[in-house]
Amino acid sequence: MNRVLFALLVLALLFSVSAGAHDFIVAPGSPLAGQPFQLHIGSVCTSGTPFFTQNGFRLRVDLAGTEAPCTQPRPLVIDVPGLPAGGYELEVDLPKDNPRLRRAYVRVRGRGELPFPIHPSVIPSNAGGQRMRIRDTLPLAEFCRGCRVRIAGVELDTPYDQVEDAYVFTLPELPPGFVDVTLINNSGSEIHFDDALYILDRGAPPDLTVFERVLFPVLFSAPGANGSLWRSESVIVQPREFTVEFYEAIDPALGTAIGAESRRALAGGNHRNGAVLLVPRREADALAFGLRVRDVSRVGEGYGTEVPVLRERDMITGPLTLLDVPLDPQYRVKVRIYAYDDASAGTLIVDDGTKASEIAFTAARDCVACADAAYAEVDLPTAAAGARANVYVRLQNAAPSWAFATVTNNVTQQVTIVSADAGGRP
Amino acid sequence: MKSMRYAVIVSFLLCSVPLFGVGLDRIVVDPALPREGEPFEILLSGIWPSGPKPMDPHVTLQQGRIEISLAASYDGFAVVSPWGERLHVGPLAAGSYEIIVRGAGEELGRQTVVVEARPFRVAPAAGLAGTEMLLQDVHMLRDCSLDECLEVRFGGVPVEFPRESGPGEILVSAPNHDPGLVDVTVRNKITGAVATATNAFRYGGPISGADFDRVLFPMTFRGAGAHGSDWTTRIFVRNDSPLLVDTEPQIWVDLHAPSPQPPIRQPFPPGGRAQFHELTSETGRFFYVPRGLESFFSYSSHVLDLSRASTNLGSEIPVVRAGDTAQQIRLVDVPLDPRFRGKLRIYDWDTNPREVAVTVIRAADDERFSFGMRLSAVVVSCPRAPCLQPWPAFASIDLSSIPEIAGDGRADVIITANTNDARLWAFVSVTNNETQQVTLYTPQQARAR
Repeated sequence: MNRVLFALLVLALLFSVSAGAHDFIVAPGSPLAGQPFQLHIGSVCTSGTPFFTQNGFRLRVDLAGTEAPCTQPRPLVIDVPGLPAGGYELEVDLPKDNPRLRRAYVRVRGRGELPFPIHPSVIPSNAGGQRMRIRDTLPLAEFCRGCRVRIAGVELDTPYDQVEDAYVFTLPELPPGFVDVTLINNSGSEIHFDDALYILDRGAPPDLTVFERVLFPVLFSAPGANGSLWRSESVIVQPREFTVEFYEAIDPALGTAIGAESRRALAGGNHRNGAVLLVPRREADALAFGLRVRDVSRVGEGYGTEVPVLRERDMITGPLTLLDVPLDPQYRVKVRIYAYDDASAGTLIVDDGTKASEIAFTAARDCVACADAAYAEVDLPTAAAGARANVYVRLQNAAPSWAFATVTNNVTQQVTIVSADAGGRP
Repeated sequence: MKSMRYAVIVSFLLCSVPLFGVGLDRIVVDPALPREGEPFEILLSGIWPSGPKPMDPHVTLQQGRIEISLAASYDGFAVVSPWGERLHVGPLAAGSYEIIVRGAGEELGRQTVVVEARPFRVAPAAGLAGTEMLLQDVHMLRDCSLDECLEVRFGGVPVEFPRESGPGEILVSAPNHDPGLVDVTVRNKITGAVATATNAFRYGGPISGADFDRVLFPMTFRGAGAHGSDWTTRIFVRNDSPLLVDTEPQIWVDLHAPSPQPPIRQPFPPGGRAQFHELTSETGRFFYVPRGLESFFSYSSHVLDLSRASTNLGSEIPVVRAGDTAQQIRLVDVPLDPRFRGKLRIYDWDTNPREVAVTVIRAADDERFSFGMRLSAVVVSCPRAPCLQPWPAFASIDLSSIPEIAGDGRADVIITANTNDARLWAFVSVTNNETQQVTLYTPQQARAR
């Protein structure tokens, strides 16, 4: 009985996080990143062709323009192209005779998103002897007494070790790409994990369904005005009990992996426009970061200014507002703008309460799921002593973006930052 | 007829009243009245009687059901353990959903949550007759204009003089109606098509925290500090909506007026910018905005030493949302330096005076020092609803005062609550004893989705 319940639980988990709407069916129920899927919409009155658009994590199916006398409602099936992993808000705008704008949530699974934690999720190729850990949860413990494992279709002949709360398997050398993992228990029952591991070929371009972009907005060491010597100081903390591979290093000193329960401190760098570290999505949440910018010529005065390190979910799709930015001539103010994916030109609107002036900028890059962030910077003009302004950032394409202003005292070189908030409008 | 009415009442009670079994005491949906297309959280907590307490929740979503499966067992040592979990759900389509919590082979509890239909957004969600309101994303405006063929009704009562205020936006004044929740409808008078936002407006004004969205200003302090410093917190709030907004607390002062206005509490005017004046406590302060209007509000917060205001503009303090909180907070690379004072501040979003464990790990030698702290909470009770808690639960400690971690070097500071439903936030301020320069160490870790 327990086994049946467990099998049901596993099945439910595998096909769970999907659209929640009553009248949508997403097929397959929880599509994999990069794989096309279909959206079945109940009977609607339209004879036209649905128009599908994607804007960041918003999907929209537009039928409103398809004028049609409603003679015979028909079921509608829309082909959706493969999407990056993540949660998408889906809107279907129906024609006039179906006045409801309907919304649903579609969860696109990252490759290797699993019901039971398997770590590390990314393993370098040509590295036999790596160890894979499957965390021992209660349902798994019930299933897995004397478990064997099959990886990429080949059953391992070495037994697992039980280490603290995990089953640990030693892996053979595996080919690059995704591999499946199957657990087999004594009675022959199996649990299959699609794309459970990603075997990393460092010569291949990054797969952003596997790796998350973590943006360090500034990583540099350089002399500045008035004898200042600016240096970024950053740290990465990796508390997990296994090594985490990075796709690309942001600093040669960091290497391409960070060991179990370790931390790395980095200073300086040559990324004035920011740098993106690619970390495995399944391990990304456990990582912690720190970043400060400091004038080391005045090192005794303070530890500098903290600059946020941004995960993908910290990026904002839509307008950005920087509130109450000083325009005082005592300070120099630089607004730095970062954007992923299909970012392009934009406009900065500086509203000092009496007038709003526009400054155009370009953060252009024409690619989808770029590993690096497009960057633009704008030096704000100074105004009267004590003047302040609200700054609004508008990108032409609504790409995930972020911005901050650095406000630097011309004499003391002390820096205050003003970070972007979402929403607001001039 | 009577028995039928009785059956209806019983079935209503069965559907709406939470049912709990052993080990589960609380299912909280936040926000309490989720809207179509809006993500929400489910917080579970209870006392587990014996054996391994519930963990590893998995959510499955099926038509009308949100099933939460927890790994748990009653077998094992008879140790009573508090437990909690925090789950992120949705956004979901409109409808009624049964939350069913299962663990240890049985159902632990269930509760109904209704996700209200929002073919367009309605803000604010509560007020009186005459309250100015904004309907957003009204797609029917593409097909015909207000003058030609659209009609707006509140609980069936037509709105007089609705007007367009932007693309897809209608500005209305709530018509007279009896107190209670009403549907808001937009109807195309020519085609008869109707879009209905169910239970979208509450006549009589807000009655609970569910009618508000909130942010936390972690520092709201003004006063003298060490070494002649004169600290203040500059928090600016901007309302970019076209509405007069009743925030809690009310804070308006017109910064652009020719002569400065006294800080008289007023509703927030459209396009208004205000400075937050309640600078009386170190525990932080919640700021409440009527639900639906939160996306129109933006914030800026800095702490600075006025005695050195000519040298810098202070340090930015993040404005905290529920999504920024976590059960465990990790602050990395915090300097332990005798020339600086390091102060750790911890906040509980739910004003829960809980115990937390603090672990300081020295970077140089990985040496760990752990201690416990209890957050203190001032919970207000109000003579009438809504009763909005002004402050989070809070605790602070001067890290330099702990001899075990004193010295020179860097350390990671980890704050952990004993149950996974805790919503904590924390930061360390590191202040130079001479220059009073402040560097903040805030959580740069994954946020709740």
